[in-house]
Amino acid sequence: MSDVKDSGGSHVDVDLPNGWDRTVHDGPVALVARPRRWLGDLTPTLSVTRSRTPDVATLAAYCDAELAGIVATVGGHLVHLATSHRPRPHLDLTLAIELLGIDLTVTQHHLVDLPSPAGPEPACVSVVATAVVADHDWPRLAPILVAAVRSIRVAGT
Amino acid sequence: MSALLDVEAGRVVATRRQLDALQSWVLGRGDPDDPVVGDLASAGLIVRGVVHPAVNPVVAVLGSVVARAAVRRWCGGRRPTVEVLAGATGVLVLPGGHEVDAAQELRWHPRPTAVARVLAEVLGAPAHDGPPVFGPGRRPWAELVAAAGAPGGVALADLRWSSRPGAPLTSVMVLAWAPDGGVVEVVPVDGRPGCVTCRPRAPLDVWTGLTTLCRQVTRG
Repeated sequence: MSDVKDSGGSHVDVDLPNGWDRTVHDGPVALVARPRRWLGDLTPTLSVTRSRTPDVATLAAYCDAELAGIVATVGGHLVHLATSHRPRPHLDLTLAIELLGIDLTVTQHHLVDLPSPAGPEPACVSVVATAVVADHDWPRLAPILVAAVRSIRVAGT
Repeated sequence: MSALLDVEAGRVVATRRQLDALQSWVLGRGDPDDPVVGDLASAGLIVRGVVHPAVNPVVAVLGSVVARAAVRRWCGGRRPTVEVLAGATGVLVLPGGHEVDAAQELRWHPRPTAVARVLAEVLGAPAHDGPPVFGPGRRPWAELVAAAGAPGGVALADLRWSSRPGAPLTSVMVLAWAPDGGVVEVVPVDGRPGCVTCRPRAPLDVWTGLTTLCRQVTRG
């Protein structure tokens, strides 16, 4: 388990796969982890970031905003998309993309804090665990990476 | 059908017969008096005896195929079979069926490692979960084909794969789904020809299956 304090002042936990080390834990990127040793051409990574999405008040709107952002930035093929309010609002997203000439699978788990109706402005604050792996390594790493990103937990200070 | 080359739009349209002639031309076996070669020259795919540079990626894949896939699809009726060729120089998609004179609106990708994503796009299985479109009971294959031939949005796809040049295509993944998700894998029942059963599959399972299938190509 890796427990760090993110830029929003919350403690972020994620269960790292065996043999993985956290390498960065500063700024809006709360955590970056990767295997200690890797023989392939692209080392898989797991990162946890915290972001704020303005003008979004519902989980459905958050999902739409995320998809629009992805289409506008990385494109790719949407492999999996799921949202649920239980046990707390979250979005699961998996994409197959090309980046810098490498074909990658990106799987994410978003923990979404929906704005209070009485709040000053609608904005979702989310903590997002993202695992990135080359397509040819996905079959071997899929179970542990999906488990890792879905293990993310946030506890207030 | 006349071939088409639109460099600005990135469009190349050609039939399989024309692609064969193009490949023969590159290999030095083309006949300048062949009317198919004349079509290619008229369309600008061959210019003063040389293949147009914009078509080189297509020719390169055709000459280096290491694996190929064919996706048979039904959704509101039979759709043209899409063939995907993976070679050392990239991936080529022929979406217009197997007929030699059918127009192929070609798509290609410069890296062979894109093959899993290309196949996922061609299959078009939904990304969201949902109730299984068919239950696990045994049923005739023809019943699934009939369901996918009727209005209502049920889709059926049979992915066939050949892992080496010249090897026959073998069915490796048969999927069905509804517009609201609910992907199932269609599996033959042993000893009951024409009879199948359906197993629920998550979208991630489908992607894992494709990336596993394509590792031979994507690992280089």
